[in-house]
Amino acid sequence: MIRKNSERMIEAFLFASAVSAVLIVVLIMVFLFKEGAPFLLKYGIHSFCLGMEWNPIAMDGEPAYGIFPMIVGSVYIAAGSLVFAVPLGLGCAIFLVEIAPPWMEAMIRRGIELLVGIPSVVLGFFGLVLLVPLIRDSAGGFGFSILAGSVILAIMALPHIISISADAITAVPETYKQASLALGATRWHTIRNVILPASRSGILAAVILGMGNSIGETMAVLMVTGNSPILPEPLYDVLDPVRTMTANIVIEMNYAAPGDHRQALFATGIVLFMMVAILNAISRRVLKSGMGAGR
Amino acid sequence: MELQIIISKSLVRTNIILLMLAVISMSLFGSGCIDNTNNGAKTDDSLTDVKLQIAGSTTVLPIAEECARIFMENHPGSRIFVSGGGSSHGVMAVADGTVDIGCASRDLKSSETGAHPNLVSHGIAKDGVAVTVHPSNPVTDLTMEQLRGIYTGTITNWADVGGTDSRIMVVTREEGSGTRDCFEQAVMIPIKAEITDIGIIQDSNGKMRATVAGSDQAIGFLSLGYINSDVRAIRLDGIEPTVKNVLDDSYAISRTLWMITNGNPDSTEQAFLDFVLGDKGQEIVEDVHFIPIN
Repeated sequence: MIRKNSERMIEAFLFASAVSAVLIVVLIMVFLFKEGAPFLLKYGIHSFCLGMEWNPIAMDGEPAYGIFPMIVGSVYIAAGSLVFAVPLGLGCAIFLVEIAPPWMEAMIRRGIELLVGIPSVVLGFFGLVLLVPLIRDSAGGFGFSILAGSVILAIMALPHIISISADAITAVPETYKQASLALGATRWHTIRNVILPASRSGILAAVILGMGNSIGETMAVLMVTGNSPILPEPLYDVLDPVRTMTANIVIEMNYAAPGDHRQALFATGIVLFMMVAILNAISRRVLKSGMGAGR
Repeated sequence: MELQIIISKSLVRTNIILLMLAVISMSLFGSGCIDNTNNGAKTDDSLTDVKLQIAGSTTVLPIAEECARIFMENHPGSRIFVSGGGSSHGVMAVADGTVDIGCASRDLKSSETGAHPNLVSHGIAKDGVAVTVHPSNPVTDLTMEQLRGIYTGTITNWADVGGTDSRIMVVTREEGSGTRDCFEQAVMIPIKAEITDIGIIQDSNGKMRATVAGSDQAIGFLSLGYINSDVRAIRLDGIEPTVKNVLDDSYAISRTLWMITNGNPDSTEQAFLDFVLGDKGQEIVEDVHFIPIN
């Protein structure tokens, strides 16, 4: 009888903790939309998302709230980080699962775990004092750039991409590999033509999740991208400074007076939230479809 | 036996949950309570039971926080709540009675004094904003015209202002920053121009200093207290940004930090203001990199 009660209590607690996660997400969403949506509708979704000028505290005339340059900035930096992180991460994952001897695998995995533990501010500071001058002196520009943000984010995305792709590669049935090797394929052939295609969906999911994480990252990016709310000029110039949506919120939230300015920052949050949610949904879809086809 | 262990374990767990709930509810109610404290403060005369609410400029925040901490140590039983929110918030909050003292790192706007003629400003500190470059930069002197040219984006090469042939990296602070506001008031507003969008934006004095110290092409501006050997402050129209020149108003880019009360301060507000303006308070002002007012 007592045992039943305690069991019920534990169950209730577990249920409460499960529900609380959902509840927190819902509450945050409600709050975000309550604060930002009225402004979004008033100012116009179109002119907000595609507006080119951000000038919330105008000296003369009307303030402008266009976040298009920041959407571009966020996407650029996230995509740029993948350019560095995907080849490195994938290579590392293949090495870990297929090639590395156990002692080396353990060592590398420990290193990757340490990488996760580095606070983003520390990475940002590292970027500010080392990477930015390095880019300025070797590639030109001011150093505060899309490139700098991408490299820092790549370092942060690397552990996630490695661990998810490594899981995907590990999940490829051992028989596939044995069959390939038995047919006389070399190790590299097997990796390229059997293992990678079979784990394709998991790797793709890792990439998309990595992109979602990168878009949401703030502190490190804020310190090295220069934060100018304008488009790169010309558009493909990765040495130009940009501002990301996250940086926009963090930089101005302290000061934004209640009213349009603050609501515009919440609206920025809504756009960001939507983008990350869509990326997560895509990655889940990819993972699911791959599970069905892969086995 | 086993049963008992399970029970006691689950009891421990529920205790932890209860504890967590208690902490959460306390923090929730705690923030609610603060709203009720200012009523008592208006009528209370004894300094042992001071209750004050202070909010506003994040520039003034370190002064207000440190003064509040030491004031509370000196007057056990007194409670002073300090929060940020920005200058505009500080002015609004003190005007509508949400807080007892509002903090602002800029002068009251005419719209604010118009709507709330009762507000009384008390200057508590001065601050100058120095234009800074990399120590290796040969430029030591700029005119206001040149500075305006650089910050509006019409002058883009150091050679145009007597330096080496290299692009100027304009570094500025984020919209809403008190330091930026002070700079704009003196440099940009008289010519009704906005700071160029091409500039790098850093969101604190510390990062601004690190940025300027890290690039020989950079120009930036810093609150006076943050100047050190990593960067060089340049003369503006021949006048050096020093404490003395800020105090006698000969240096152009300066501001006063204010604490604002609704009407003349009552006894508790006066006690706190006296403390801020007294020796210890002004020492704190200096400690957090501002210029004492007297």
